Amino acid sequence: MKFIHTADLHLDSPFRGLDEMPAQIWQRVHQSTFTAFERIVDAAINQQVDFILIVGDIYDRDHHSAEAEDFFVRQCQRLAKQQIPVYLSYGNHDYQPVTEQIDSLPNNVHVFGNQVETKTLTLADDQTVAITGFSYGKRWLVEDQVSKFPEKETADWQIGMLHGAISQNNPDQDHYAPFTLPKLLQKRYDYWALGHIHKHQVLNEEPLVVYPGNPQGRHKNEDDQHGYYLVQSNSDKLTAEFKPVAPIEWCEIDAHLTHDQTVDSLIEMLLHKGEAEDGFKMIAFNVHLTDQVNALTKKLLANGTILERLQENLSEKGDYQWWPYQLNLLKGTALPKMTDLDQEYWDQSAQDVFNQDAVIDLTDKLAKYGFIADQLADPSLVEQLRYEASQKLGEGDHDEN
Amino acid sequence: MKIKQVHIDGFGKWHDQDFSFTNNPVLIYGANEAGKTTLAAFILSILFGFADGRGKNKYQQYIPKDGSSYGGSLTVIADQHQYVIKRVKGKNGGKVTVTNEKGKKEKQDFLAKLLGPLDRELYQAIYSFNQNNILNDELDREQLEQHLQRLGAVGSQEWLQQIARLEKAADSLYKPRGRKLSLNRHLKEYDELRERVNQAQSQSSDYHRLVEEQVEKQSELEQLKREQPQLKHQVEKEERLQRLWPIYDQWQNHQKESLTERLTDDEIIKVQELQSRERELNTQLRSFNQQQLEQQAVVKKLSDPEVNDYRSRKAHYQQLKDQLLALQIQKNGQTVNQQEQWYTELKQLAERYGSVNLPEPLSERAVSELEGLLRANSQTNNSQNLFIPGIGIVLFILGLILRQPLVWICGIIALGGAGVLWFKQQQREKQLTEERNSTLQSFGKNHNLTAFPTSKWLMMQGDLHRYHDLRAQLEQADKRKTNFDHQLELIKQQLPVSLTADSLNELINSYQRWLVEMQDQLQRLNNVEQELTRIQRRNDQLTQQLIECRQAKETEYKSLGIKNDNEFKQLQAQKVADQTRKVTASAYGQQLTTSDRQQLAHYDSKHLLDTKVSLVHQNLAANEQKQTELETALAQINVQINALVQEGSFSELNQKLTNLQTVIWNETKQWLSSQLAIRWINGALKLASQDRYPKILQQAEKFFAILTADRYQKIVVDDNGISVLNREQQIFQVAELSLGTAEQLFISLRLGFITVISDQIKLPVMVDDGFVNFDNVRRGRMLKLLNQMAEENQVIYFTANDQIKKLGSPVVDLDQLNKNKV
Repeated sequence: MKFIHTADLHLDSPFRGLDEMPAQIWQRVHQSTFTAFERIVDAAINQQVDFILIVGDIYDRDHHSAEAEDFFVRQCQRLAKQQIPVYLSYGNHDYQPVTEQIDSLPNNVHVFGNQVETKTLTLADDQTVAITGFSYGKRWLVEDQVSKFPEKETADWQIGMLHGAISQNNPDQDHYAPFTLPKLLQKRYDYWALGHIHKHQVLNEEPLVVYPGNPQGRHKNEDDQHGYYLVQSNSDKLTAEFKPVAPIEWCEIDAHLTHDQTVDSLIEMLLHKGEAEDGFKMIAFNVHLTDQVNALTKKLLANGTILERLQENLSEKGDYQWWPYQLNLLKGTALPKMTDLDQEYWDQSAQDVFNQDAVIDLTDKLAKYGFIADQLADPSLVEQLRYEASQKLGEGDHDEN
Repeated sequence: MKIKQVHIDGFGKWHDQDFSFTNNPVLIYGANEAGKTTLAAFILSILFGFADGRGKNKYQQYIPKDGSSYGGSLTVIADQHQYVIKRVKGKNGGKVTVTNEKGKKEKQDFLAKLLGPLDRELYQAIYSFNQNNILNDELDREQLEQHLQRLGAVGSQEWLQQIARLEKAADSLYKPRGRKLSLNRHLKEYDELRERVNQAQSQSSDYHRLVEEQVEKQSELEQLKREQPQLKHQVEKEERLQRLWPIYDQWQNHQKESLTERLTDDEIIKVQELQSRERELNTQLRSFNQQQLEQQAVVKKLSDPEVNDYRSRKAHYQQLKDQLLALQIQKNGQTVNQQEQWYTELKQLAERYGSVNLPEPLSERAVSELEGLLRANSQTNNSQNLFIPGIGIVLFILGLILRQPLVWICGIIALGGAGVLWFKQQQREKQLTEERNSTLQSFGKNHNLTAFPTSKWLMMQGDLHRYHDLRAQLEQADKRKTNFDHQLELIKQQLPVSLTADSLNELINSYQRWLVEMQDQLQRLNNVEQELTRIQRRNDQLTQQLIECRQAKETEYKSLGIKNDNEFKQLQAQKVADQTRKVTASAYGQQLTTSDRQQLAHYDSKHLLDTKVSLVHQNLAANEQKQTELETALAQINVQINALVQEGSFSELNQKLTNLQTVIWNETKQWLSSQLAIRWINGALKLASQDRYPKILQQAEKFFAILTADRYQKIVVDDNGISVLNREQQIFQVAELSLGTAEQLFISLRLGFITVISDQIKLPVMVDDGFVNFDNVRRGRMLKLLNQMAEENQVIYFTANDQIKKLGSPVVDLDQLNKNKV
């Protein structure tokens, strides 16, 4: 048995955290989710896999473009020509009622219904594979789904397809078919094909419980390599191998400024760092400032001039192998000295101020925007805000003008 | 920390100048332009670095114009140790060195340790009292209140400025009801873009609709394509059925459930047997009837009165016959024939003898006599004659046979001898005959025989006898004849019919013939009657059998549901027809498969089949028509879909939207972080104030009392803010105080704060009495206060008021120093 496990294709979903970019880069970025999946399909055909599992979030419901759907159908048709079955379930981003109604997908695509169900197939060597899964019918699935999965029965291989997140034991967060690893292992499946988490990771080795991540990272938090897992049987054991396919990799690169750094030398340094990377990278530079940094440089960094100049520099060359999309200024997070004497009060106040409720209160009407609400739900947001607020407190004594 | 010595190498107007701060408070007097501010700036610059020459600090650098070296040093005492802090020209606020009392340089960060967390601004905010950080008219009372409330925190004023700055920054970014602010603008832009995306999305939903339509149509088309061969097949099938229909029709007709189904071959055989038997019986009966009739006719014919009479009086007639026969027998002795014979004989005899009266026959003695006479010559003749020739012949033959010439010669001899013998004999006989003739003549005369040759005498005897007998007989016959005729006449009368017969014989014959005939007829009649009876019996039998047979047949017919032969015939004919049909049917049947038949069986009539054929034709045509339509529609949909797919504006707009989200979020974060920073500061200040206020108030109340000459005794901080209580126990809100009093309150609180944090940090308090609102009385109170403050902190008091010199304390007189220099 040989199969490909992927999930979270998020075809044609827009890239977050980007601003203006040259058309060429934009094209490249736009195509990347497509290219990544196309490469997976290429691999499936080249490797002659027995089947492909796609565990949810093929599209973003909000950004479900004609192009994306058309593309996906065409890729499935490619697989259909090779008689490679596709088992797919919809996730929280492409939740939809799954009906028996005909859809545009070719016949080799087996879509899991909204209730947990098991599909079986027989491989060329007569081994049987039972695949259990479900599709999201709504945005949230707070109920435990794993308990609805049957235990492994007679099939030679039993695979579970689960688009969800490990339970945090927090009703405010467990919105995505919360599960626990022991509960999964209890089912005695041979492979748990997970989806939803965009960073690829193996939660358990035996049996394999795997998040394949999304084949293409879409913003800086989805950095590092992205791809799929190629799973193969070796007698009665399965091995999963991560195969990168993402045409674009997001990465953050640290740049430490020395005190006598000029703007030109800084740009030179950043160009050098960018060129040193392999593959096409979307790069966010984290520029670490020190107090000694030239005030002008600091200012140009802060107002975005340096990023612009860096980008211009690349655009002049025309051949894009990477793109600096962001330049973050990192200063020490230490608060102004005058807080030292009152440290306890500041800490206390920070506790009062920097919590989600307070943030949501403050956001008030802004939270009506879904993307803002989503951000507010990010547990790390409060820390970020505190960091930024600290930065702001520190700014006061220097940049009063 | 306390400053003991000040040495200026060059700073503003001062160069190579030493100041000694021996007393506490340190009172520094100088008129305007005397260098008070420069000295104060120098102290700050040594401690916190030279100003960087930008912005508002541009005029705070005090770089000496006369070219003397920039900077100087402070000799300070901290934690009972003396250090010299020296700062000279250098980057980032100048190069600073700290030397301890042993002349050893301290580490780079030692100064920071000495100064604690304070920088220049913060130091000034806490420890420096001058026009810049004392309340003035510009502050409205509300701000004052705020200031006072936040006083409990380190650098509260600075923080308040921060808050103001952050508020300004945040407000420039976003206000919930703002319009032209960046975030507001972006949100508006977002809403608009979102609207466009939604429109594009509806394009996408167009796409979905189209794809759905496409899929639907595609599957419909596929379905139709799948169905098409079936429909074609159906057309072919139905057409084939249509072609087969005539055969089927035939077959079906032959196949129809027939009555003869019940008629088995055995039954047919049985019935046929019965029928043939019946026929046979009928034939027989008919024949018998015929026979019967014939026989009856025969009987009728045969049983005429004569026969009947005969039959009835058969015995009688037999008797008659017997009588007749008896008569005949009777007559036979004298039958006419006999009589005639007799008569003829008589006549013949008479004729033969030529007389009618023939002599009487000889008696037996006469006969013997005559015989004797006659016998002699006739005896020998006979023996010799035959014997010798016989021997001769035998010998001859023997000799021939035995080839014995002797023998046959002997034969010949014998024969010759015989011949000789025969001749001699003849001679002798002639002699004898003449002798006898004479005797005989005599005899003849005796017996009247002379009319007759002697030779005949004997021979005649018979005839004579016979003649006489005949005569007697004839006479007797005549008598008998009369009797006979009488009897005959009697019989004749009794005879049934008048038999014309000339003679009895004839009569008898006739009668016998009649009898025979009658007998015969009777026999025949009897036979016929017997036959008739037999026939009758047989007839009856046959009739009985026929009845039985018919009954049996009826029974069979009944079981077959028919009534008569005709019907059976029909039935049979039908059966034959059926069988023929069956054969035909099977012939037809062979042209039809079972499924053909099953399929054809769905149709009751050709019309229905025709209807069906035209229906399937229509279906096929409809299918093909629909396919064409769908293909056209699909082509159009494909064009539309391709247009939508290639347009990509949706993705683009989405990306724009996402980018805008990024912008908005960044701004939101900016705004949020600003707002949060404000809250954070406010929170921290409030917390610090709340915590420190009781202690600060404790100190501040003392200071406030000093400054107001005990007019106010109590400072109260509660939820309503800060209020003060005067001697008359009247409560005044801060806003109700005069500016001067408010200033005193402010200074008291600040000093209270310094006192309170003095366990954490203790730096010199620098007071520049630019206090515009201080009159001399108040200034006096202020000095009193500073004296009290000096118990904990070093107080450096700058004043342009020469009254200070009159207080009796040592005063650093800058005017004096300037004069000396000049």
